[in-house]
Amino acid sequence: MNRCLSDQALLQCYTGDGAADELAHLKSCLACAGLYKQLEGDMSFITRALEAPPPSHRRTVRGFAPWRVAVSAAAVAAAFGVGWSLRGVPVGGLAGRSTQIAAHQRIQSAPAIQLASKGGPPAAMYAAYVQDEFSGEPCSDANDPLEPGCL
Amino acid sequence: MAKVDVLPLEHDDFRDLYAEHQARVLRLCRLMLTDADEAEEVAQEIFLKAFRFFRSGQRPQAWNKWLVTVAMNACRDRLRSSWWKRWRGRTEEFDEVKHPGHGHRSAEDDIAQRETQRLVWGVFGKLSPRQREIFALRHFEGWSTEEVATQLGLSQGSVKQHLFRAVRELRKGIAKES
Repeated sequence: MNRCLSDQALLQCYTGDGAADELAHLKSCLACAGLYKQLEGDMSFITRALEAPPPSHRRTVRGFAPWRVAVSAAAVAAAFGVGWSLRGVPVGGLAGRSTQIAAHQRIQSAPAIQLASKGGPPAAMYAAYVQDEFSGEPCSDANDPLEPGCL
Repeated sequence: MAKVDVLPLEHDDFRDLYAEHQARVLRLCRLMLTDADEAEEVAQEIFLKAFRFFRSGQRPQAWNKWLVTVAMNACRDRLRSSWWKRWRGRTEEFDEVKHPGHGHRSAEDDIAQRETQRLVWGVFGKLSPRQREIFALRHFEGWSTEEVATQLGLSQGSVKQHLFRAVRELRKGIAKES
């Protein structure tokens, strides 16, 4: 074997997984032998350091790091935004909402259109319409406690 | 002060087992978790499990492999379960001397050695859990590539790749930091 060993081959020689030709090359090549020596030194340095216990970590429960505060605030703001945008939407979803509003408006505005086209509304009907539009539903029964908002 | 025996006499065998394997199991836990306090907690849990197993009358083929398997599973569980604690808790290195240096060394030597350990552990902690597992089993436990591959359910080529990457990252990280 004439080519010099790769880092991986050197490591395999170090761990005892090297092939016979790689080991033979290592014995004959000064450059590879130098790299192998360096690897041995590094591994010994690493192993010695890792034999000692790692530095202990103290957990600081009080207080959050600034970036964590920012992430938490963004999450809360996003949740609030989603909630705000969905407020008033019926549980059934958004589908059909615009058609419901249009139908409601058609029903509500129909008497006014009809009365205007016929040239003169009967006063009682017009009053009921205005009352309905601006003040609430006309009372079916003035003393009904279940309709407190009616006039 | 009188020594208090917590285990009855019939458990002398377990005491021997503990004395024989405790340091190795603790070192493996440290390598897996890169945290001295958590490693001690997990090592205690492992020996509690071992004691229950021992008391039930069961004996594994080899305590060494049994303990390593239990330790690795316990450390993986701990790593999985502590993500929230790690996210929430700001961790700071706590300069606690658990094993004071030899008496003949100077304060400068101690500081230099502690700095080296901090550096190497810092780089080691950035490796993936898989790389740390393989490095620990291969270099510290002295298992062969084949044994590691069987234990972890990987191919031998994969084990060699993980080990090579781990060593490369360690050497690169240490060269960069120092």
